[in-house]
Amino acid sequence: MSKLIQGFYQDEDPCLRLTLEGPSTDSPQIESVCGVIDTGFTGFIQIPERMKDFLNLQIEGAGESSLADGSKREAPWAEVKAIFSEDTVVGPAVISEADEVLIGMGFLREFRKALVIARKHIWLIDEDDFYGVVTNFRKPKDEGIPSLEAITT
Amino acid sequence: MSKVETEKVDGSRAPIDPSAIIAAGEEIYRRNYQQEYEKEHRNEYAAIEIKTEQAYLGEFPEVAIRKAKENSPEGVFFLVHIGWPTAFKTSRR
Repeated sequence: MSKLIQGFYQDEDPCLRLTLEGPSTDSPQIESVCGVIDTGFTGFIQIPERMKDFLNLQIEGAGESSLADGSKREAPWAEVKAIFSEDTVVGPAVISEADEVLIGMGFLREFRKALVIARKHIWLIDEDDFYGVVTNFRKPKDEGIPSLEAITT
Repeated sequence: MSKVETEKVDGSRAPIDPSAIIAAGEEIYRRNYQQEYEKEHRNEYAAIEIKTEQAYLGEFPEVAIRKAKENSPEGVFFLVHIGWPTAFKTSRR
């Protein structure tokens, strides 16, 4: 059965709630983390340093990250367990000095979700279901906007 | 022991210095992989294990990292986006 997961806006940012956990079985957990969806972020997830410390994550590698203003900074990462909508994925969390959690394109890829952002609503749809829905859309040369039913059924 | 090596005498892991990983990784990448990869694997990602200098390719960052960790669970890795100045891009700080 198709699953439609609803996100929300917080201070005009599109957000999702998820749970974060360290990769080992006895790791601490942070429930109901609010993550900002950043489609300009190419990684899986970005978390503040304090969350890395609380979850007892170990730095396992590093690269660099470039920001929209062209500046570069170090991007160390540690493996984290992300629990979202009954699914669990272990992936690299980039550790940042910023205080917010970012959800990147890698998160959508790994959870196999398609993202729909509207003025007042945010939905995530299972990728396979979404492909089924878009085949019913009108071609670009046709006029009109697909109905909500076309997206959600 | 270089800053990138992490194993303490008691077997626990010491903190890792990201700057040291980046410096060592960039040097390994330039010396062993850059010329070939920029011709044949442009836009892919490479996770390079610092100790063995082995590289693991993937279409996306998480794929390259997963492959690298499967082969070397205790490894320390440098990530590069082949043909790009940095491994990651982000629009927010």
